Amino acid sequence: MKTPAIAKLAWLALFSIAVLMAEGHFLAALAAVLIIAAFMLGAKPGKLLRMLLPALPFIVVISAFQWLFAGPAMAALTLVRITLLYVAGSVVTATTTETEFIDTVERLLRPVSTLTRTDIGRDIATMMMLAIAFLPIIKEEHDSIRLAQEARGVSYAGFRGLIKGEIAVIVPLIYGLSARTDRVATAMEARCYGIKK
Amino acid sequence: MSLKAEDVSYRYPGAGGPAISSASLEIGKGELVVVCGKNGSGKSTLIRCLAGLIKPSQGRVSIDGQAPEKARRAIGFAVQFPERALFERTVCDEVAFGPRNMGLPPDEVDRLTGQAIDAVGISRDLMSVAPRSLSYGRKRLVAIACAIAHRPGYLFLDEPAAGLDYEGRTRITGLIKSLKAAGMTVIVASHDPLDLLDICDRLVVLDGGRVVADGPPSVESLGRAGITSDTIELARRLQSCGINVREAFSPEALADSIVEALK
Amino acid sequence: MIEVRHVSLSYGKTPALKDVSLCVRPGEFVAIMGPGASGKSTLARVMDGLYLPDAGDCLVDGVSTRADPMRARRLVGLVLQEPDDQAVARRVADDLAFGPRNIGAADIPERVAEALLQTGIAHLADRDIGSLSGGQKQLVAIAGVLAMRPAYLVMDEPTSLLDSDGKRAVMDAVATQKHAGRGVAVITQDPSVAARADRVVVMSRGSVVAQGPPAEAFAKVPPGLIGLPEMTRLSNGLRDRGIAVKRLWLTVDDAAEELCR
Ligand SMILES: Nc1ncnc2c1ncn2[C@@H]1O[C@H](COP(=O)(O)OP(=O)(O)O)[C@@H](O)[C@H]1O
Ligand SMILES: Nc1ncnc2c1ncn2[C@@H]1O[C@H](COP(=O)(O)OP(=O)(O)O)[C@@H](O)[C@H]1O
Ligand SMILES: [Mg+2]
Ligand SMILES: [Mg+2]
Repeated sequence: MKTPAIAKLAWLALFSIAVLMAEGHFLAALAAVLIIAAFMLGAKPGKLLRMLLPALPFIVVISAFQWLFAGPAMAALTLVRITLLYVAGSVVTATTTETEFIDTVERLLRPVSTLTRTDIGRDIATMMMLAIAFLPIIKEEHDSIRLAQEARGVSYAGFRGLIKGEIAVIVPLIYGLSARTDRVATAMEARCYGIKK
Repeated sequence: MSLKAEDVSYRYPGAGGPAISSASLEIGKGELVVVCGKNGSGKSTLIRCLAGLIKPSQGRVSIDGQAPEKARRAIGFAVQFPERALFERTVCDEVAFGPRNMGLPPDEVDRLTGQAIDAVGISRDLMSVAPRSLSYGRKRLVAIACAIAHRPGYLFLDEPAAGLDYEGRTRITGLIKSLKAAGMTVIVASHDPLDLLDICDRLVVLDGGRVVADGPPSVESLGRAGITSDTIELARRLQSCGINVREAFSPEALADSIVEALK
Repeated sequence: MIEVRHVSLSYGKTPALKDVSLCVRPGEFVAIMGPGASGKSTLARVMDGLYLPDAGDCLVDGVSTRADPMRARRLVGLVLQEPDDQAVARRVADDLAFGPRNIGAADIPERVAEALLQTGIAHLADRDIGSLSGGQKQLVAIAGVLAMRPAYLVMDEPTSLLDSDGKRAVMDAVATQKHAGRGVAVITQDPSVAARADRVVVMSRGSVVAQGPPAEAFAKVPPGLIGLPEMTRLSNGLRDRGIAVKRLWLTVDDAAEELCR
């Protein structure tokens, strides 16, 4: 049986609140809850791992800052919390198609839409979908420009090389992305986004 | 002096199967090699491995007897849609970017930049304009000038004609011809190689990541790449109705052959 | 019918279209060719009601896009030139559902399945669009518009990155549309695509410079402006070599018929 998206979102909300409030042993219990939930929803461990790996550096950096400012205990707590939240989010996204997700968000926000007599629910839902689609695009574009610059002899070795190399990536990346957002907006219009039903 | 790939395989992290499986090739100095095959057959992946931009998961590549990392100066590479990575304020700085990265002295950089711009057939008057203000076809030429500025012995071009109009494609074909004439080894990945068949020495055909044909272009090897053309089809029809024409890839070559056969 | 009547349009000071007229009738396949920057993509956007002309008018089934651009957008399905920039979702099937949902379609899953089949990418339904090749993205963009079942289909260089299989899928989709009585306009640099059209329109610097059935248009067009079909190049080549050729060839059949005699 397929769990409805709304149940998954509700679970994610409750779980997130619990993670932010819990400490010590309770966190271990929540980790167990997460593993059971992943199993019940049928999330594939390999896929979860692949989703987690690219986020790990950020999680580590954030925790490192915590260490500097709030000490090792706080850093460890932050590390565990963010990881749990991230994996919980991944479990939901990995087992929910965007169409289900968008429909649910739209349904949840329908009262707001009715109240304000706008399509705000649908707009927010679409923005979330775009954000999901756009993040990997930024990385993909970054990687492909970097490959192009490496092909032109940019070396990313050492601190100076990295900084210089990243500048040669970021300039065309920003150019490319802003032209791209324009074109994506046009493409959405061409596909009747925002048309009155 | 040659580029050698022995039993090269490549698998993208997280991908199901390998994108390239045990490819072996040897490319001699001065050759023009076209790598073709359907979408997703592994053309881009193979030439990236050959150029040392990505490291094969298995097997090895050597360039003039050296590991690719050690032979960076021998390699020029224009990725697919290379114009997307242009970023300097002027065409001149853009083309000089590579040679400067190689730490060459300024007068040498200037000389190489000028030569590269001449080689791709862009007027030197455009050296001080912004690359972004150029037409699409010109941008592509600037991007190729960037790849040849340090005078590499081996030049890799990934789909150099993709998205260009007729004039742009004609210029690219002409450019490849002149680079070959100047002694450069050129390796082109293309899903639509018909324009290059008359000038290339070798056609390497990929199918599902494997090299399934490697030799002078022939109707048979093109068939393996899923490529047919009206010219090839007509030559066959003419042979079967008794007009003895040669195998031809361009309509112009077929016209010559028809004239001969009709005499 | 899509009727473009004496349309002019500029981007600031850059004129993109100058007094352009053409039409696409139901059940007709029109190919639009021309060098870069000749205004083809701008014209496509005018036909879809995305851009309103500065002068002149564009009518879709008799109603001006100026009067009701949304109606034009719904009737005319437009596939834009850059396949990378048309995906709005991450999963292929979710992306195809976007257009139908916007027009309030009831049978979204059926439409998505049909569009996947028509473009030959049913096996990609669950793939992440980011992991697809350029050619595959091009097919996804086309499927996304087919799923809206538009009355007219306008495609901007839809086969530029496609191999022979992909090209065949697109040409089959064009034939299906035509058969169902829907008008199709395809902007293309590929003369073999244009050779199969009912009519070819050639543009240069914002104006139409040749227009007519393919053989007529290819005969009229200034040399070097666009690529010609291989068989047309052959008939021209034979003429240049002093062999009398009765008419301009478009297809292998044309050529074989005359030569095998
Ligand atoms: N960055 C990537 N991550 C995962 N798979 C990839 C990536 N790039 C290419 N592939 C896959 O590798 C195979 C070969 O791709 P590619 O070399 O780009 O083919 P071609 O250039 O012949 O179209 C394809 O199946 C493609 O989906
Ligand atoms: N968004 C835009 N802003 C400014 N100028 C543009 C824009 N889009 C196109 N142009 C200009 O309009 C002209 C026609 O462009 P376009 O319709 O894209 O031609 P084509 O599709 O035939 O290459 C070109 O000179 C181009 O530079
Ligand atoms: Mg490729
Ligand atoms: Mg265009």
